[in-house]
Amino acid sequence: MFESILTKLKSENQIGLDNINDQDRLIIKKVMRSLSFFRVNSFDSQIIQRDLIGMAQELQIRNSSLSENIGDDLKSFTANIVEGSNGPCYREIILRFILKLSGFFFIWFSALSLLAYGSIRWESNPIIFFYFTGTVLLSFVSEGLIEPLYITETGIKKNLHTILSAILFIALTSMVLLINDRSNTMQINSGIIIPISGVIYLISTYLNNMNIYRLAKQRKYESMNLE
Amino acid sequence: MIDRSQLMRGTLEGCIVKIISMDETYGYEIVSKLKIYGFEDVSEGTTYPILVRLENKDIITATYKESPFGPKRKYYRLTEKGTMFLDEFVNLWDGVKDTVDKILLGE
Repeated sequence: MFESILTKLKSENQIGLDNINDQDRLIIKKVMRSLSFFRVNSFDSQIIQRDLIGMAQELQIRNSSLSENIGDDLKSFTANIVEGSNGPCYREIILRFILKLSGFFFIWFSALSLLAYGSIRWESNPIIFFYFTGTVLLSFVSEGLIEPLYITETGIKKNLHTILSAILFIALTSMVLLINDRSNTMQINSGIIIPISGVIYLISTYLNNMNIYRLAKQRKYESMNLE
Repeated sequence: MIDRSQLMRGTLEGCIVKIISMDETYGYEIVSKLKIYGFEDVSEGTTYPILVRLENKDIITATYKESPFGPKRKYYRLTEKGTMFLDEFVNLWDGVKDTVDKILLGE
């Protein structure tokens, strides 16, 4: 039941987005990307998206558009929304990080075992765990904190998040390469890592859905008249 | 010289609450009414963040209803807390208005 609320909202929003003009769709997408889960919880941000789509549709009927009504200052528009919102849900941030980390471990250890080594046991420096965790942390920070800061900017500034994220990733990879000692290896048992990360992934998905349901209940989602 | 929007910013919230208190209403209608009353430069981009804030503070509540034009509309109405907020705003505004008037008239 709880998973369907966010799914319903997301699919309804997708249909709504398909029915508005390109310029307004781009504005809504930019606003949504800047409202990361570090600033507004997922449920509230879907509600905001729903409102913006409704606003764009209403204005379209009246021969106006969202771009005409919001203007060029998307940055202060989103800042005002964030200021007035309930803010982030820290439980969601933690669960999403665990979800990402476990999913990443599951995929990479499966891929390395099946495609690179052809065995569930292989030798590697234990730094691989640090490297994978660091990569997930970087991508988490990049998409949740760095990108939302610059997405509503214009000109060169809007690409700053890509540059910053790339620099951080290169720095992490270089650091790992420098301290990687090929003689100091241990046996990696993917037969344990893959099922454990898979189970953690499923549990955190369940807990995340339950948390979204809790947030939805707080917002009296019954009044949202979802189809 | 004088930034009108800056001057109006604080009062807009109270005016929106007053409009909602008159009857259940939706975003576009709120903007239209504000324009009729003299807030010509107000748009949906100005009012929406205020409505988000008021809803999260439980001053107003919202329900989605079918609209005659097609898309669902978000209708706002005042809560009990909203009624108290409005009373407080009216009292505060009267005080501010009196003070400013006294200064401007040199009393």
